[in-house]
Amino acid sequence: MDDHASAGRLDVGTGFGRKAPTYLAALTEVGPGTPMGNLLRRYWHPVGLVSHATETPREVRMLGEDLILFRDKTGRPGLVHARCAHRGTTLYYGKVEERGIRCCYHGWLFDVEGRCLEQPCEPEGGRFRDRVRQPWYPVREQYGLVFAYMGPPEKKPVLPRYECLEILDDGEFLDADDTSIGSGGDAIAPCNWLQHFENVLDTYHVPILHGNFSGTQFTEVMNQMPKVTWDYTERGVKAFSTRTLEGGKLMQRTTEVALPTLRVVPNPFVGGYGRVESIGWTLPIDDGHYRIYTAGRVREKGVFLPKGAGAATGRKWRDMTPEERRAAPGDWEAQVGQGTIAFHSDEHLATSDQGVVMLRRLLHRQVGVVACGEDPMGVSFDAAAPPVVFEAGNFVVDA
Amino acid sequence: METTSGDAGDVGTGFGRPPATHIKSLTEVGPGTPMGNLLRRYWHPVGLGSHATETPREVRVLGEDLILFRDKTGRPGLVQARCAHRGTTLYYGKVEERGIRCCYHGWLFDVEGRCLEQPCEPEGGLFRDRVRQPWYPVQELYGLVFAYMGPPEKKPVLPRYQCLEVLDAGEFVDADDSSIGSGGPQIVPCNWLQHLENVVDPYHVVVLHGTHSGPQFSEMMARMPDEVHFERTPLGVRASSTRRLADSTAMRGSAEVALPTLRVVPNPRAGVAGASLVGRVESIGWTLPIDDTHFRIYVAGRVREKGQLRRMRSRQGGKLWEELSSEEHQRFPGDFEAQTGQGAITLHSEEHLVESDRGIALLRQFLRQQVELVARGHDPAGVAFDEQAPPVTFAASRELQDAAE
Repeated sequence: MDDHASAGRLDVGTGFGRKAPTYLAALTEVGPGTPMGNLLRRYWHPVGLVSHATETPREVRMLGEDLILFRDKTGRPGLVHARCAHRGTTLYYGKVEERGIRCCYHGWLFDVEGRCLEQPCEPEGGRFRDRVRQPWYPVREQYGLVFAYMGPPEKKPVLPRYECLEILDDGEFLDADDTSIGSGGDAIAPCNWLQHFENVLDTYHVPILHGNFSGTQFTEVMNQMPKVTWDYTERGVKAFSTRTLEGGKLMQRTTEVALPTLRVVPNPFVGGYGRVESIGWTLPIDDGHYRIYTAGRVREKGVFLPKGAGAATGRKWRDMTPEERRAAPGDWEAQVGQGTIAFHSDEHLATSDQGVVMLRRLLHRQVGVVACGEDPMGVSFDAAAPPVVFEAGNFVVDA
Repeated sequence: METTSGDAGDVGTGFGRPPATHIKSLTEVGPGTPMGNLLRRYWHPVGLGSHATETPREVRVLGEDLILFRDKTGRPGLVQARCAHRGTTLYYGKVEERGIRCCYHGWLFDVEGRCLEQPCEPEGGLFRDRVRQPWYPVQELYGLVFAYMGPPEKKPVLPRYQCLEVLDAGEFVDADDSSIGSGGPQIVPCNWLQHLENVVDPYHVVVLHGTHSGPQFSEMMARMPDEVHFERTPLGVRASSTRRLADSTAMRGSAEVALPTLRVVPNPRAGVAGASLVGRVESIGWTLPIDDTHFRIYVAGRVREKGQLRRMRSRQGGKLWEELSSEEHQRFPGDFEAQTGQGAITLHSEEHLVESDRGIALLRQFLRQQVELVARGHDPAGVAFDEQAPPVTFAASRELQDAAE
């Protein structure tokens, strides 16, 4: 081809000269004092499995803060800042005792609420030790998880209960998991938590990414292009989708996200029909990492997503080579592929992204509510409040 | 289970704390920083004598990347790593009779940075005299190579130390680069001041090295001292601890920190591994700041056999640091874990200094004064320009005394 043919025509839409891309800091960044950090700090978040709080101190990072989780020898779980209040070495090397955790460096002993009980190198064991408080956070255990509240003390809400985890069907029991079920990959995902959260309301990626592009990753019926509507709920956004089953009946599926970080997603392998089986907390480790803690009703230890008829039987992500992951991407590849924090300035949101738009709008509003000094949605101070009910589930109905 | 205290509200939680900070003027060491200016008034070790060879060696000191070599006439040289021409590193250079030759275009520099050849230039470089590879003066002493990276007109004499000059019968001076005293590997990923402060912190010995991880030094050192005394010295701070013994005598041990970065610490494993129980300090460690977040320790000491210095390295259950598993490191932390556990640069705003930290407070106060002296154009403590100055004497020692004293 003659190069000169295009000489009169300018190349349009090249990558040259584009403005530096940006992301919505107010929706993604979670550190202390950030708008989203302030919103998320109005809720309880899981910091580990109950079995993670032991007499061996455990490093945990959440909302950009480095913390140590432990359990004193009377059985009380504790969560404190990693840096010792004295001269700052990490309590990871601390020793757990009856009354708390003792720093390795000069032996200061802190209880689970950060009170300094002993300063063995100080005269009289530390006459002024009452003036020192190791920064700490209240914790509670529920559903096999340890939850922490990292927000303003005077606004500490009750730890919510959820109907889907309170009312068990025959043969069911509760189980908890820390492997990030639903991330599509490893336990710690190296991207912003919101990318995962948005994916939950993105019903249309299911027939493409999970249905067509990489073969059947869930089940045949999930491969169908669904009809979808979205709606706000009392604590988030839900996506309602309809697919046609063999024999003409309809499968109706509702997935939800709820504040603070809950993914309420019925089993995509459709091991059965009914209300949602589990809740996943999309914990922001920091701005560039998240992990998912799950609590759910199971019939077999560790089996949260039993597979229904015609479900995919693919290789586990951990067993796949980079080449196999490239050839058959899943949620992990798509979300991590958006970058550490996705550049919102370079997106082109379309009609099928309505759920994503609604979620961002809701989060923006809630960030604003907190900035105005009010309580965000779903925060309750009533210990007698009934469990939260979600609509999420897979259901069969007549056409 | 609810662990919160109910009505009164949760006090002292991590929420709403102001951003944490470190004291820059005491920790940061790069060119032009306050502490960098103070430290650049002294000589610092940049390697063992045996490190300066015909194979260029990368060294990083006070945040500067340098190349140490020895030309074929035996002169050690220390130059900035970036070639003055187009900046490739002289790490790839070839050492010759007269200096080091850059791999890229063959410029040859002598140990004082003079450009001797520019082989690609007309007539071998008509203007090569106008080029000077940035260099630093070096001197060899006690088996170490020392460099002076400060203002040339203020170059002091390289100090000599009594404890390395006056040898007892059968002793000789040996040097070591394995960071004896760091409690860990050769290069420690945290600020140098965290280590220096640890030297005048005798109380941590009892907790960290005594009760927390089992006796890491000796049974005696695991006991809380009966008396601790901190004092300013001409060059820094000294901490002395006295422990009464059963037989109405007492063991008094003292350790000191001296400008610029000296740790003067009697062997903490006194009485074990063949180390003598009493006596004046055997060795000096230079806590060299590699940059703001890394340090290493060069040691010179009096020994009776080669390799004796390295036996001072601490062991946990008979194992050296690098032989321990990550579980063992968590269960039996030592100096390395405690100091790196403070972070790359500790956050001073979050500290609560107490009575037993008097040594640290004194040291910071002293360093602040010295930083200010230099900022005002004065000479800091211990800088001497007199070739005839007597060796520096340290009181650091371990001695047996009458408890009555």
